[in-house]
Amino acid sequence: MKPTRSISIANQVDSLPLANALIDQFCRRHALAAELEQTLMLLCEEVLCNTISHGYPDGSRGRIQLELYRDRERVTLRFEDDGIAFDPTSQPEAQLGLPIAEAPIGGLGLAMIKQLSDETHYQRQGKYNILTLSCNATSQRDRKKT
Amino acid sequence: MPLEFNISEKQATVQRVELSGRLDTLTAPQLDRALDDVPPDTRMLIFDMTALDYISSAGIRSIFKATKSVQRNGGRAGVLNMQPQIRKVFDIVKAMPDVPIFRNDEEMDEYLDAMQKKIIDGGDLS
Repeated sequence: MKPTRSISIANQVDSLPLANALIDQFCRRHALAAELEQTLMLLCEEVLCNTISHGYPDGSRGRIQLELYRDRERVTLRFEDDGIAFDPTSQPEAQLGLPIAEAPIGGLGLAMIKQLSDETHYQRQGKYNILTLSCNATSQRDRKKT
Repeated sequence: MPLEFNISEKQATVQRVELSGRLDTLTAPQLDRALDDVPPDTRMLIFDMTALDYISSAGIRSIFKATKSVQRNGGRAGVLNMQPQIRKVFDIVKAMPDVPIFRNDEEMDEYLDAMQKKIIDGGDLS
């Protein structure tokens, strides 16, 4: 399946608006519901931030490829980066729901990735991490094409 | 869309943080810096989310940090008026189960009045 939209960005947080613009374009083109767009933006931000903050501990420059696919039932985000091997789908779950004084500051991003996607898949291919996250699109009411 | 915020003293020792736009990885550091200046005698820190459209885990961390800090000084935090998509994110990460959420200004004012009364009566708000 060919990606409907794709972008290659630098491993810097300044790149986040580029990814958001791509998602916005994609959602408009496919007339996806605002709720789904919000979910895709959250997934994208959480994954990219994680990769940018932890994937390049030596501070090296890297590229992250983001691709978006749509089929009838779902929207898929595919991330490919050349950072250190990291499988976000197999990390221990952060302890959620604790009173604020005891609540950990970290681990929220990974919890959100798990909760917001209907299917996750990770593989290490050579020097690349490949992460795909899918969200069901059928349960979301599509907004009217304008 | 950027983040806009305004921190004002609603009444003595009650600070209101009005947020609008996006609270995300890029904008959270601005809010962190501003929240560092919240007076240490603050008894109530209210995050007014009426006009907040988007929050990511980075934004929740900012709210967490400020809440922890105000609690350490004996104060507390509250959240006013979340849009459904913001509520959804808080629900997903089960954030701040012990922080009151007010649906509107009236609810918040009632809470603040009760808090004020407890202080005058010398009791602690439970």
